[in-house]
Amino acid sequence: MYDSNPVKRGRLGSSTRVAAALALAGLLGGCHPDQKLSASADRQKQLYAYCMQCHQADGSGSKLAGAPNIGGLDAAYVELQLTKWKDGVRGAHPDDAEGLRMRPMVRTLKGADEFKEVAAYVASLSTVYAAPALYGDQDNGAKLYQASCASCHGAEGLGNVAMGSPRLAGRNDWYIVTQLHKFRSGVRGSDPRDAQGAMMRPMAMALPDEQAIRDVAVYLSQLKPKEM
Amino acid sequence: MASHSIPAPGHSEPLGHHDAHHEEHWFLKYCWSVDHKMIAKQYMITGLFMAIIGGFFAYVFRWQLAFPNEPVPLFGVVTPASYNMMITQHGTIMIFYVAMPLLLAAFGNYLIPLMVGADDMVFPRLNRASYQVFLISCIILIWSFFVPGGGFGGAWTSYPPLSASASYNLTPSGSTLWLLAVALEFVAFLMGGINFIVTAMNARAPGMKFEDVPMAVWMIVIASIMFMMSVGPLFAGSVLLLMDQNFGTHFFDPRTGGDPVLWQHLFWFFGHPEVYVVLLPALGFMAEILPVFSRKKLFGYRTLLYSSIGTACLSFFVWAHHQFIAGIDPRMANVFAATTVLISIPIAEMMFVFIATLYGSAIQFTVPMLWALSFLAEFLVGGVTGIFLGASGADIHFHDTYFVLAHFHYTFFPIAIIGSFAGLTYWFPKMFGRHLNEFWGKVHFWITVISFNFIWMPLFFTGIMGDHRRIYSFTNFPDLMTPDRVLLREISSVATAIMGLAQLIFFANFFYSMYRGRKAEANPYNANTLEWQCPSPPPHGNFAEMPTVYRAPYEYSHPDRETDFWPQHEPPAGAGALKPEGAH
Amino acid sequence: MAEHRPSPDSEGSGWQPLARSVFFTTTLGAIIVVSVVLFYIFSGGEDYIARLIPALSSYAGDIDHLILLIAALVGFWFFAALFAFFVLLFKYRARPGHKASYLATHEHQLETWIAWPHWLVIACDLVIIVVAVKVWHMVKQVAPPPDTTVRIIAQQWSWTFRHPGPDNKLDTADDIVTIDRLHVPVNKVVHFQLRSKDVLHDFAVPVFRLKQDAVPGRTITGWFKPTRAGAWDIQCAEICGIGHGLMPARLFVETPEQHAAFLDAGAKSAQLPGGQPIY
Repeated sequence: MYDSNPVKRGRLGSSTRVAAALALAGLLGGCHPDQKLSASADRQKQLYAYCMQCHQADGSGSKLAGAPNIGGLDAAYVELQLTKWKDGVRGAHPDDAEGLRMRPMVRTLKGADEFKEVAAYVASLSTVYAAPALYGDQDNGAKLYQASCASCHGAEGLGNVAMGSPRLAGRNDWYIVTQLHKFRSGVRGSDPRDAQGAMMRPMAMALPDEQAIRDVAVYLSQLKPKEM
Repeated sequence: MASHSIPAPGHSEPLGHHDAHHEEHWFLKYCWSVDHKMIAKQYMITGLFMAIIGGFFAYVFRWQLAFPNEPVPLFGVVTPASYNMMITQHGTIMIFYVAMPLLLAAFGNYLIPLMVGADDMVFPRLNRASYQVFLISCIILIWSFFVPGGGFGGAWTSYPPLSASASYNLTPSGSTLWLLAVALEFVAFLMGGINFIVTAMNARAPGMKFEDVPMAVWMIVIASIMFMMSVGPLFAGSVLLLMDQNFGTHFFDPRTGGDPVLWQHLFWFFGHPEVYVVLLPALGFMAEILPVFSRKKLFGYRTLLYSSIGTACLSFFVWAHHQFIAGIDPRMANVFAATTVLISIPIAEMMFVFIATLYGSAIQFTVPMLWALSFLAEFLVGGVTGIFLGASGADIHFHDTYFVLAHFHYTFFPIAIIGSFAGLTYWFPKMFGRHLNEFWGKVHFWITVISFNFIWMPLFFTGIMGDHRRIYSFTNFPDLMTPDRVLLREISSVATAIMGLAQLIFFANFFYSMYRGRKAEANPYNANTLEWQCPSPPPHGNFAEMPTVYRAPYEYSHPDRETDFWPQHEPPAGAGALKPEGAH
Repeated sequence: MAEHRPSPDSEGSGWQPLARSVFFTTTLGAIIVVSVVLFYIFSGGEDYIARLIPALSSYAGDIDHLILLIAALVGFWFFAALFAFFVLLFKYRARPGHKASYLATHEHQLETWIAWPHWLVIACDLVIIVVAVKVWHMVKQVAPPPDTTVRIIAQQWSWTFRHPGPDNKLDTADDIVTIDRLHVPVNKVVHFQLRSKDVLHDFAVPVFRLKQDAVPGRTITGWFKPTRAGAWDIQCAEICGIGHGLMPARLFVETPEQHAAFLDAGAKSAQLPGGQPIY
């Protein structure tokens, strides 16, 4: 359950808090210069602090935490996923261990405005490539990708904003494998409200076997689009 | 130095520098010293420094709890990860790096040789090694805040499987460094404890019988023995946990046959006596300070001694009251509820002894005395609220709520903070040869004690009302965001900030008085115990002439005396001090 | 030197009045303690805690009652000690012309002083232990026969609740699985099977006065009987990682009609692939 109500305040007015804060700040010799985070860039960075324990400061992710690299994802896609988590469309399946870990973290962001800000920040980071964590045949992966996936995710793996399909080039191979399994088993994308999931689930079935999934994942994790 | 016939080990060890009066190199003097007083000061300064870090963390997370989703002044955004890290480190620092070094190590080192009339510890080099290991431990702990992933955030109790696997706690290096730091700290205090016990046993001045030993020494010795007896299981446990974290063993991992509850037993078998390890020295300071400033003999020396030994023994049989609802056999809770509630008996006796000491006294409200008296009043709150938690039925509701925290802080704040301030203000003239400023000392005292009560009284009620600990923001719990609960949290947090600021007064007073304070004479309070019979500050080797003890330490206002004190070392042959008609 | 030691055998001047006042104080204390116990045996004291937080399970009142009993007993000691403390502080403050007395007695006379309050403390302790064990036994050691059973699975950092569905049996096809929302009928004995997938968690419902750790590798059972319909917080009360403060769940105590509606809706959505959560 996501409670989007603004934080309820006690009877101790904001003036008391401001006075106490000022007294502290004054006595200890001035506070941070970035206390007033009105500027959007600062605010984005501040909000991204909630993501950093798992997704890291540079958006490179952490396999340990089950958190993929997210730097360079399209802002609209990130925002859409955060909204899905908030609405219980994604990460609300009992078998989705990583999704259930992400679910409470979305509660640190209060509402659509903050989703937008943090999504913009994620989009501004560049994709951090990681060495393959799995064994896979990249050539076979390329063939399978072009046959089954490229129509939505693009020949260069850059995704398609209009369809809500994310950029896949440079995503962690282990993450792609996990997600494909989740789509195939219905752990992800089977919620009736999940339009993109409904499209993705049959496509995930198109890959013939486990090794095919790995081939595609490894290929994508090393794919560098020409524009870069 | 040769005035007595049987040289005790502490008197006879030739360390060379005692007789060499040349000025030592500053490094040897301040960083490589074997002098127990310098090592005590090293412990003290390190402990005070760590207290600043731990206190700052407390301010940050309290502020976050009262005013969530806003950057904390002087810190910034508190994320769930940094919140967990700060509560963990606050607990670790305040217990292992503030209470232990200040109460046990600093005062133990400083007082034991002076109070028993020795010229140094029995094992001075072991003493130096103890501090150095402790310093390394501090450095490792602070380092762990800055490694990738950040400092350990699995609470100071460090329950596995959370603490055992980086994929659960997300701090791959921080958790190992934390464990390493704590384990090294145990090593340091084991070395210190050996010294305390052996010095008090073997290096006492001639004539000092067991019942002539000042209560502070007794208490530190009992605490050291308790620490030694309880730390073994936890030390073994931390090695197992270290191996679980780094070498792929599964002692605490249920998926492969381990048991996470095992750690809880090992931890609390140490963790509960640990509370008394720091409580007893603080009680010892009270037993020194109360008689001096009430000019009255300590009421019931033996009662106090035996009830503290009783508490020490009983404290080994209560540990599972921390685990009532942790999945242990529910029948076990009945046994531990009984032992836990029974610990109120010796503790109550100690409180009776202190309160009875005030009967018929003449109380001087000096700064150390104010701290000592406030210790009694605040510890009383902590003591009586413990009964609620020991009663297993009530603990179902109170376990891990803010009621527990409030109870714990009402015991631990008197112990660690009030006890340390009482000790620091009382022995400051002896340590530095100068007096603290009395006025600013009182200002600091009143602000600290009043704001302390404003911090924790409200949290008893939020605890009853269902606030659980270690939750970084209550905004996700609709039941917990009612205006009355929010108000109570805000009062507590603002009081925390005020108390933090008040400590600036102490530090200013402390460091100013160290250099500019009024000069102190050898025995400014007309006290009896031996540490006041050598110059302030005492030189290397402490006593110009090693003292001989003739009587118990608390002979104040004796009717046969013209003065209202009777130093332990004053020979009875000095008949001039006796009233002619009072001789018997 | 020994003959000059202050003899513990000399009769001190301050002893007699002290002994008298102690005797009277403790006698008075005994009377107060006994009347407090009697008062709580014959009155329903649980309302005082229920004003702070609602008491909504069958045993919440008993736990509140225990808390108040302890409050009364230790409250007496607390205020008596504090009163004596402040009176002594005022009466014996240092001032011109006032001199401290010297108290020298046999140690066994001091023991007399300690003995009275000592026995009183033990009496209070025994009362507390007996009542605490009684309450504990009722909540944690025995359970009334279940009307329904739910399974609670905690993991980082969410709750999965497995409801038995219309057939009232767990692990059948009509089970209703939800995330972070637990639905139970009012006035029925609910047994729970508590499990954890990864680390320690704790299923805590403050309004029920209920708390139980979830330990990975074990199934821990417990029970509660809600007494009023409504929606309440479930908290995790054992630190379980960075999301510990962010795993609230909601408990819906439902009237028979509401619960029937929940079972209906669950029966329909359970047809979706992958055990779809119903919200």
